[in-house]
Amino acid sequence: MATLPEIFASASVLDVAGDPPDAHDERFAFLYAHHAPRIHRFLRDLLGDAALAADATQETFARAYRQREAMRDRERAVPWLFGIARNVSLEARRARARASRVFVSADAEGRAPASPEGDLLGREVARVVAVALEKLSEERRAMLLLRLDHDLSYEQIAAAMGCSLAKAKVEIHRAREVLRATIEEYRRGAVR
Amino acid sequence: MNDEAFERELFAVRARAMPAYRLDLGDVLARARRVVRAPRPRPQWLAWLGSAACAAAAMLAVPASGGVAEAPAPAGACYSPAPPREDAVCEMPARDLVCDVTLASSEP
Repeated sequence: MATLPEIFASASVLDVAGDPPDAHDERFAFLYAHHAPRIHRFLRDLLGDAALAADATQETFARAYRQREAMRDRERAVPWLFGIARNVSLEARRARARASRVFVSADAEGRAPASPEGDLLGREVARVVAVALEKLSEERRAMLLLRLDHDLSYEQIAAAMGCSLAKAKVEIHRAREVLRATIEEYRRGAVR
Repeated sequence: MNDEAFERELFAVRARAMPAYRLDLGDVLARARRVVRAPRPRPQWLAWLGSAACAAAAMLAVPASGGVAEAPAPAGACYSPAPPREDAVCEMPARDLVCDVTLASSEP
């Protein structure tokens, strides 16, 4: 069995051509372990519900597993996954007709240990970010998250969202303006 | 620190305060291997049968040469929207006929 660094160093995380089935699953397992927390956070921000996001995360990876032969390029694997996740989130929203809201729950279950100051800071930042995200459309919110929270390039975001590069840049620029305005309001004490 | 770096840092701080996600690869694989049943497509031969029946009914409703169909078309067959004329010449081309045939077997 290959170690995780070996898998990661291979030319393609999802290069399935010529590999035995076990290797496919091994690589997929690595992909899942590496990206599921990010995908979950992304879906949580889009769906506004941790449990629904968890279900959507599992569904995202189930679909990715079914289509894994279509994805062989490691560079494209991340936007591809986020693209599937967004489609799943849109379906989940339609199916359950949930109001779009940002999850800001303070459930402590499974939380990474943090200092009281760090915890307080995290909550405060989460609150400000949540206020900003709530002001954005679903599409603009997804793009902002992909850019600032998940460090995707503009090209990757355009690929994940299925839009042009120019549109991705404009949407993110406008979303960042909203974020900056919200931060400014917070500094002035207007965000409660 | 520029604006974008500051904004990224905000998201990073927020991410650290979020609950960890519980991985469950077994569930993912079980979902992925679950058979997804697509809706069965309607057999094409049913559509062909419907078209053939309609065409046959249209041919029966229009006389081959100069005559007039003596009897009205049976219920369920094709009919001409124009009333019969006194001079007994059918001028209604077959393509103008309206077909109201509905085969029970072609219903979904």
